[in-house]
Amino acid sequence: MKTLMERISQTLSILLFKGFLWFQSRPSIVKQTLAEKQITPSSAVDELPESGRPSKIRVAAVQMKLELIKENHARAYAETAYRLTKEAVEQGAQLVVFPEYSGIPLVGLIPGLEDLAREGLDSAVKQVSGGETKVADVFRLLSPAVKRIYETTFSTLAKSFRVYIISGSTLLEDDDGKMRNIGYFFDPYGNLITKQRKLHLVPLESEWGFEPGQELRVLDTRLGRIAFPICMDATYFETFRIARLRGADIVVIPAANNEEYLFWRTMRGIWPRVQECQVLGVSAHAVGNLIGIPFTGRSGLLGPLELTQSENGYFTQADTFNDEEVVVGDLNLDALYQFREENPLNFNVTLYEKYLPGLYTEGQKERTQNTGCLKE
Amino acid sequence: MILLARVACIQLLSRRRESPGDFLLRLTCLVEHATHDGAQLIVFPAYTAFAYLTLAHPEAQLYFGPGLAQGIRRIWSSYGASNFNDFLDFFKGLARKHGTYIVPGTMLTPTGKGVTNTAYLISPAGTTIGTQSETHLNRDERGSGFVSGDDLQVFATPLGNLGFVICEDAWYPEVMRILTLKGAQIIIAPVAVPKPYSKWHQVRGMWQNIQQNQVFGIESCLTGFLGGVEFEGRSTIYATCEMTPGDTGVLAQAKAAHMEDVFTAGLDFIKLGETIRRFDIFSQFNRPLYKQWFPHVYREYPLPASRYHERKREEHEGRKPL
Repeated sequence: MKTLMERISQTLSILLFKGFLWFQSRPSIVKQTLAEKQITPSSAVDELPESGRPSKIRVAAVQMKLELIKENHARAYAETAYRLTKEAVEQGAQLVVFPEYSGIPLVGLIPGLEDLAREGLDSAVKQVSGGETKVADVFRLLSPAVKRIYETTFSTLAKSFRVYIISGSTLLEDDDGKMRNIGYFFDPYGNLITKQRKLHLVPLESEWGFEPGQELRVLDTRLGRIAFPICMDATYFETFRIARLRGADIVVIPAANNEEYLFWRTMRGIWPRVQECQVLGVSAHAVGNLIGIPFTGRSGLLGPLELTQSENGYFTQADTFNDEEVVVGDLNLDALYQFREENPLNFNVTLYEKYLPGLYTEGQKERTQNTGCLKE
Repeated sequence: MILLARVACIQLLSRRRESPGDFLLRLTCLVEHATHDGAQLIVFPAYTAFAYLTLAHPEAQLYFGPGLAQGIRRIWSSYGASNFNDFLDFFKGLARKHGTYIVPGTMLTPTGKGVTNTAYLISPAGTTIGTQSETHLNRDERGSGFVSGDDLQVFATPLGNLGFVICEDAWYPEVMRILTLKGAQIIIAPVAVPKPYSKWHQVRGMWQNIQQNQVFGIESCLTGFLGGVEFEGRSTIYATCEMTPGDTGVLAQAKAAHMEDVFTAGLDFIKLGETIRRFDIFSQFNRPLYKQWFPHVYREYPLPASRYHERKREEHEGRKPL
């Protein structure tokens, strides 16, 4: 049981830390950093029609190396995002996509985190809180600061370069107070078009205290109709099916796979989803090692097999699975529409009406029972 | 339920010229080969019975295309169901003799509106446990007079709960999701895909559906000439990547895409249980999202493709995009 003095001391520490975070995350730092770059706006988006869909678009998938930022956080973060965006824009990109957890390097705002987290983030949190705090609560504390740096960085970059940016995602406190994995989509004026919450979590995120989102956005943009669910959402065909049936032509997946790179396991995400839903896909992967957590993946631009020159479903793909790269290529919407005309999907709605969505609840019980039986 | 089931996949070569008797003899040899290797369940590819019909009734000129359903009906009306029943009885005899489950591929069966592409499951006692018709049809199948089934069954057996994914169904993830939600643990896929064989086309069908549902799969492919079409495919027995050598998701596979083959694999339910307990994909379903959109989001799609895309374009053009 904590004494009154201990409680007062803890409250003061938190207040002081919040003050430190507020000071470290001033938007002016980001704006000043990017102003110094004297960014020349791109004219690439001017080629997009004002209304109707474009024939093709040029997209960059940023394979970003996640590295803990230990000092000058706002400046260092803006510098990194600037460097990668510049590389993409110089190759004519109209849309720049960053990976899932692209804001996670800002967790370095916690002083001494690297030492604390030698045995993992979970362990660090337990060390500090005595086991009373969840990992999500640490991110909650950081959330206002991370949000300011993150939003200001990508909004300013989008406006300065005059390019669409999907920020990837980061862990933030949502409007309803719940902790979520949230992605941002900015237009070339730096306006926030929308946010997308991750809809299917990995078990670790659930254990850490994060919540899934409930809504899948499909956006009508000058780039075409776009959805951008996050990483694990691509494991579930349901995500892409809903997106496609609501009119999405391009589905973007910011991803961060924290596992060893194994080719066939990587084929269980966006690749089959693009094929079965007849959409164009973009995957931007996080790579590197952040406080002991390795991230691997090969970013790329995807489409139905029949549309790709190598007939393997990739228009272009990163050369490596663990190095920083910016993958740039074209997505041809005219070709996609022609392919859909020639190969229409033929759904059996009568069948689905019998089982969906009710079976999702009943089926889970059945599976749990089956798995239990096997254990015995 | 047993914890390790041995299953066999038959990759059948369909020949343009062969007597019906020789064909049945060949099927007998294939079953004997599989049972010699310990198979408790043997799966033949789609159209195995159709291959028999084309040999037994060359005069019917059974070709894939607009006249196919009519041709099947003609045989049915001339000979009754005897050809179909004889063929089934033949397999029932083999199942009894070897004490094994057999899926003799699919049969094209006349219905009021056309023909269904229907698989049969025969028990070791030589009885028909159940049937399953293909539920999704491609344009060529529709053009040949196929009609789709509108339900999916799961059959409980001592080997595990079995469900069928037939031909085109393998490319609609809804099918295997419904089957696995209904408790299927082994998915049987009798298929026939026109040449040229594409590994990636197969990956986007059965392979990835096995992965996203964490079950076993047996995909049996037809090769050779049938009904004016040449087929190719590499039959495969699947499990999740975590359970297979080299992380490939493949337990066993035919040696090539154009030749006859028989092979078996053991389905280890203890390993499957461990895989699911480590991470059950179903545990992270977003039910509120699915409830918001299923099934009504599908209802507007069956518009003819041209009208659908036209409408989407109109919607698109009517609004100022962001």
